[in-house]
This record gives sequence, C-alpha cells and structure tokens, in this order.
Amino acid sequence: MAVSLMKKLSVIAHSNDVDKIIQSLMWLCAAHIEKTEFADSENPDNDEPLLERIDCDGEIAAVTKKISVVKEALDYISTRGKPKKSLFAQRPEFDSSVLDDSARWNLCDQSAERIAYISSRLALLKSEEQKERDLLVSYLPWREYNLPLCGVRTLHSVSFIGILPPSCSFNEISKYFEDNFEACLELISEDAAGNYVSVITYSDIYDSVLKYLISAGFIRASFTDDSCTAQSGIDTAHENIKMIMLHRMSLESEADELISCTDELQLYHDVLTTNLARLNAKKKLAHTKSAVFLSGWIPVDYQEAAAKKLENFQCAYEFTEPSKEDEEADNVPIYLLNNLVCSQFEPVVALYSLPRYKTFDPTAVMSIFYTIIFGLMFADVGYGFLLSAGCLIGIKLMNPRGSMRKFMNMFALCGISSIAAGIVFGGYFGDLPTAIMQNFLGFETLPDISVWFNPLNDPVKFLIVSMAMGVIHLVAGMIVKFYILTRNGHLMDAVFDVGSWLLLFAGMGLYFIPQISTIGLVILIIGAAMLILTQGRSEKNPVMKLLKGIMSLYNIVAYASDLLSYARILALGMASAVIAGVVNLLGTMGGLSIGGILGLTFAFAVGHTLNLVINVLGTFVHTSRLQYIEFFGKFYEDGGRAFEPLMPDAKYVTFKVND
Amino acid sequence: MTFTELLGLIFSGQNLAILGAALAIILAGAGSARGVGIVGEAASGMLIEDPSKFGKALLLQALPGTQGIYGFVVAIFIIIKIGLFGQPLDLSISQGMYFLMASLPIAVVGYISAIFQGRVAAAGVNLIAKRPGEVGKAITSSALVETYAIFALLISLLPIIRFNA
Repeated sequence: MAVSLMKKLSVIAHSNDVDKIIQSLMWLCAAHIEKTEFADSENPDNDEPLLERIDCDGEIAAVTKKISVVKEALDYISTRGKPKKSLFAQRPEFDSSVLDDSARWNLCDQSAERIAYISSRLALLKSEEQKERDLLVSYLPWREYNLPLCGVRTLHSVSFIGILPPSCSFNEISKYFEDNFEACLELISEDAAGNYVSVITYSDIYDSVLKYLISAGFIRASFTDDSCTAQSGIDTAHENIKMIMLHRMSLESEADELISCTDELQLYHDVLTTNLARLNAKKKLAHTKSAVFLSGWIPVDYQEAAAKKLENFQCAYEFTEPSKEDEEADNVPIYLLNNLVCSQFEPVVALYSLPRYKTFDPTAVMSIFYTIIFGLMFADVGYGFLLSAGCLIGIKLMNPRGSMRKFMNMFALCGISSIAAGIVFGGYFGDLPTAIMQNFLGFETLPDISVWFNPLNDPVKFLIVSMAMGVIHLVAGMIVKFYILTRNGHLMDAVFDVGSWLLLFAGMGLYFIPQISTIGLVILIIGAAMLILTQGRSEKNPVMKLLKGIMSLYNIVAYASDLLSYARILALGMASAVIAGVVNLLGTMGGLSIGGILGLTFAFAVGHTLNLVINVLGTFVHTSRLQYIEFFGKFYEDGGRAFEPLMPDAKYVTFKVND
Repeated sequence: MTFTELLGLIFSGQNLAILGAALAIILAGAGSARGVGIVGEAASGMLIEDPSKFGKALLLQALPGTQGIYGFVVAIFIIIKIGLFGQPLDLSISQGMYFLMASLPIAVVGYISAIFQGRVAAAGVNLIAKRPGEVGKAITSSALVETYAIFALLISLLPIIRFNA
C-alpha cells in the first residue's frame, strides 16, 4: 500500500574484507548497491589519485569465460539426454558456504572444459565424416572402371570418363559413335543422375569426339582426388569413416562417464553466476590503498538485519536519510510494499512507471479496478477457467521467479474474476450451451442462461454498464487525487480543484433522476460556480482570474473523452463473444452424429484456443491502457527508479544462508 | 428490369445500411491496422537494441487500435438496429441512407486519426528507446490524437441509437 522508506547505507572497510562483505549483503537480498560517487582528489605526497574505482574487469572476463564453457558442457549433456528430473522436483538446496570451496570447483572446471572440448571435437569429426561419405558417393558409380579416374594418355590414345544425361538415348549415341568414330564408348553404370560412360579414343580425333559428346550433353567427371582408381578410393573412404567412428565412440564414452557429474556442473554454474553478480557489485565500489568505500540503499525494514550482518566485520557503517537532492533527482530506488494479493499487480505498475519516492502507491487501488474491468471484458466461464488453470499449472511446472511469477498469479486472479463475470453475463465458451441445445438437441426456444443479461442480446445495456464502470473508475481516480492533496496538507486545493468537479458531476447525475432533478441542478450550478471562481486563483489580475475560471469549464470535454474510452469494454467483450459464437456455430453444424461430435472437438481445440490467446492479449493491453491513461492520469506522480537488490543469481539450485 | 429498378435493388434500404456498417469497420479498421503496423515496425527496430522494453513497446503499439474498436462498435450497433439479429426491418432507401450517413464520421475520422496516432506512437517508441522512464509522456501524446476519434464515435452513435423505425 505504500512506497517503502529507504535509508542510505555507507560503509568503509578493509580491502581484505570487501568480497566477504559484498557476499554477506548478497544473502540479505535487500541491498541496492550504488556506484560510489567521489570527487577526484590526489594524494599530496605523490601524483597518484587518492580514490579509485575498483577494477575487476579481468576477473569478470575470466568468470564470464568459465560460465560460457560450463554452459557449453551443460548444453552437450542435455543433447545426450540427461536423466529426466520429475516435473515436480524441488530445486536442490545448498549451504551458502559452498561458494568458497575452491578445490571442488577446480575439479569441476576441468570436467567442464573436457566436456566442452569433446563437444567441439565431436562436431568437427561429424563434418569430416560427412565429407568422406560424400566422397564415397561420388566414387560409387565408377566401381567397375578399373583405370585411374583421371584417365590415361598413351602415345596415340586417350581415355576419359564422364556422365551423359539420363534424358539422352544412350543406344542412339552409341550407334552414332560406332558408325562415325574410331573410338570406344562404354557404359559403366547408370542411375537416376545419368549414364556413367568411359571413352577410349585416338588422340587425333579426340577433339571431334569430345565436341560430339558435349553436344549430346556429356559432362566430364571431376574428383577432388583422381589419381586413384574408383575401387581404391572407395576402400580408402571406408577406412577413414571407420576410423572416425571409432574416434567418435571413444570420445562419446568418455563424455558419458563425465555426465555423471551433471548436478555438480549445474551447481558450479550457479556458483559462477553468483560470483559474477558479486563482481558486478564490486565494480561499483571505490578504494584507496587499503580501504574500500561502499554505498547503497536499504529499505527501513531491513536496516536491522543489514546492521547485524555488518557487525561481523571490522568496518564503519552508517545509515542516513536520503538527502533532498537525492529525492528531487529521483535517485532513491522505489520498493513497493503491498499485501500478498495486491503485490501481484506490481509488475503492471512497473510496466508503465514506478511512483516517485514518498508519493502515493497506486497498486492496491488499481488492482481492484484491474480485476473487475478485466473480468467485464473477458466475461466467460470457460475461458476464465482455462486462463486460471493454465497459469497455476504453469507456475507449478516452470517455477518462474520475480515478475514473471507475479504476472501469472495476476492472470490467475483475473481468470477468477472472468469466471464470475461469465456467470453474470452468461458466457460459457461463448454461447456453447445454447448452440449445443439448438443444433445437437434440437431445442426450439433457447433459454437465457445469464444471471443478469447477455450482452449480445442487449448491447446498449452493456454499453451503459461499461460507462457506469467508467464513471466509478474516474471518480475513484479523482477521490485518490483529493486524498493525496489532503495528505500533503493542501485541503483547500483539494476542495477547489477536485471537490468542485465532483460536485458538478454529482449534480449532473442527480439531474437525470426525475424526482430530485432540481436539487441536481442546484448542485451542478454550485459546482460550476466554484470552478469559475477558484480555477483562476493563481492569477494576479482579477479579469484573468475570472477568464481562467470560465476556461476551466472546457475540461469537461477531456472528462467526456475519458468516459467514452470505456466503450472499449463493450467492444472487446462483444468481439470475443461473437468469435466464440462463430466457432460454436461451425462446431455444432454437424448435428448429433459421430462426425458432428468430431467437428465440435476440432472446433473446440483449434477455434477456442485461438480465441482465448488473442483475447487474453487484447484484454490485457486495453485494461492496462485504461489504468495508465484514464485512471493514472488523474493523480499519478511517476518517474521512480527501480529497486534492484543484490541477489544470488541461481538457475538450477537454491542457496540457503545460516547466520 | 429497368436501370432504376436495378439500382433500387442494389441500393435498397437494408443494403445501404449494411454499406454504412461496412464503411465504418472498413475505414476505421484499415486505419487502425496501418497505425498499429507503423508502431510495430518502429518497435521491432527498437527491440534490436533492448529487448527488455517489449512490454512498453507493446502498450504503445496497442494505442492506435482504438479506432478499429470504435468502428466495430458502430457497425455492430447498425447491424442490431436494422434487425439482422432477429427480424430484419423493411427499410426505405431514405432510412438506409440515414445509417450510411451516420457511419461516415467514425469511418473517415477513424481512418485518418488512426494513422496519425500511429505516427505519434512510433515517435513515442523512439522516445522510450533512449529514455525508458518517459513512457507516460509518449502514451499521453498519442492519446491526445484519439480525442477526435472519440468525438466522431459519439456523433456516429447518437443518430443510430436514436433511430426510430
């Protein structure tokens, strides 16, 4: 319900302790390490600077390289089909001291490097094997030809080989050859690629023979190595392939033995990534010859815990309030405090912008309206159930962290709201019950299964419901503005700026009720008068005061346009209902038969799934847009900076801390 | 059949009203499609550098889609008013033209304002590429263009809702 108050933490410690201190703060998971700001100053005794930023780029590069090696090893292991963990297995937990076990990690390092090396060697061997196989394929048609493939030249004759295309008639060419040339054309073999022939001819008619053959489509055969005969080439290729395969098998069996330390490698991976996080934090610190300076932000609730951790070291630390300059410049990171349900909506707020320090946290109020408006737009029991169930199952299986988890929880809540709205407005996978009743069971009159009314039957009524929702939402936004102004001590501003508009709208609303329309008119006039008299109060000139007040009445156009924007609730609700109706129509066209039931299942699987996915996206975007523009526009002060606490970065395991 | 009889058949009251509904969704939908597409292209370019801003980009991309929704609402209202969901009304040519004319505001203004809103939102995408914290300003600038589509929606809807057969 609020933006957490922050304390600025400053620490001065021994250089020897810096890694341990950062690690200790990491386990706290609540310290946002800031880049230590310092002015350049020089030691008067020599020319070296007094304070410098810690340089650990070399370490960072080394750790990054190790991480990529371990990643390569883990990728290779997964291609070999590592033992599948049960879907519901918990992440293994390890004590935090495990990070310091350097002997264990050296061993792991060697295994990871070996596996990565094997993986790249295997890839190389695979491409070599492919080359040999291609060679084999090129030699195969010439197996019966027992001269060297490059052909033979004697004193008076030439022999060469080549391919005639399959489209030519070999018998015709052969006959022509016999009749016209003193040469020999022999068919070695034939397949789909063509006829493989060898030619022996006298040297003096070589050119005309070649010319004739080329005109018939002849192509000379070429090889990368043609000094051998076909058969010997084939034998060599076979030998090479056998050797490569032996080599591969030995490497693979070596890799298989190393696979047994998969769990160890995953733990090592997380140790490395956590070290990287620590080094990235260390980069922000400043140091002298023997001391280091750390600065950061801690939420007030964690101040004691942080102090306890720092007590373990010989260091000087202090907690201070953020300075005025920090607050003005939005340097203070924003950490939102909300109850369990509302905090699931924090990523939606963060998607737009976080609130500024010490301003109103809109998450709680927004969450109520978000859920209701999402439900109104989605209004379907079947889709809502699928959405909620899908999200909850996804959380159980994928075990996401951070904002992804919150998004899925939020969608699950919105799914429940959609179920409720679906019951009210009669949406069960669109109009599936009535479609089944009409086309499968042959009912003549269709009952109305909604508790209130069906938007497709009476869209004007649903438009009025959407507008009413809009009125409630906008008035809530104005009330929040009133509250914020009052809380900051500007009660008169609240009454004049917000109160007069509220009176005007209340009067407008009451005017349309016949019995008390005169009272409504009176309230409306009071509100308008207040606006005219007070909206120009910042001006000096009395004429300008009045003019500005009258001009402020123009803002009613802005309010009207905000209100009309809520027509999208009607539009989106109807769009998904109409598409679902079409899907149901197509699915139940087959009537009550085997084909009909199959058609319904198919339509269900494809059509409703598509409709669900497209509509979740559209509803999410438009509901968010209503919050950001219409609701937040009334009161929100945004521009806050995200709170990014130093945390262990672990993908496969969880690290436990014991103090 | 004479030419006027043929014209009378093609442009009967019902057909003119349906033409009105069609125009509303055609032009407003086309404008929204183009506007959303313009922003999508800008967003894809921005995501090359920083894929983490996708949520904000998606939000900006959805903004020009409003005009298509408004055209859809007007078309649905026309279809309901002429009775296609129940008993089709027998409309005279003049009544059909009534609906055709009522659909013009949202059709034309929807098309034009959606394209311009798309251009503003695309510029907004460029803005958040360099300054991710200013997405609120980008959204507000884009929403200002929408004001006129809202006026057009209102003027389109009023005659349709107030239609008495």
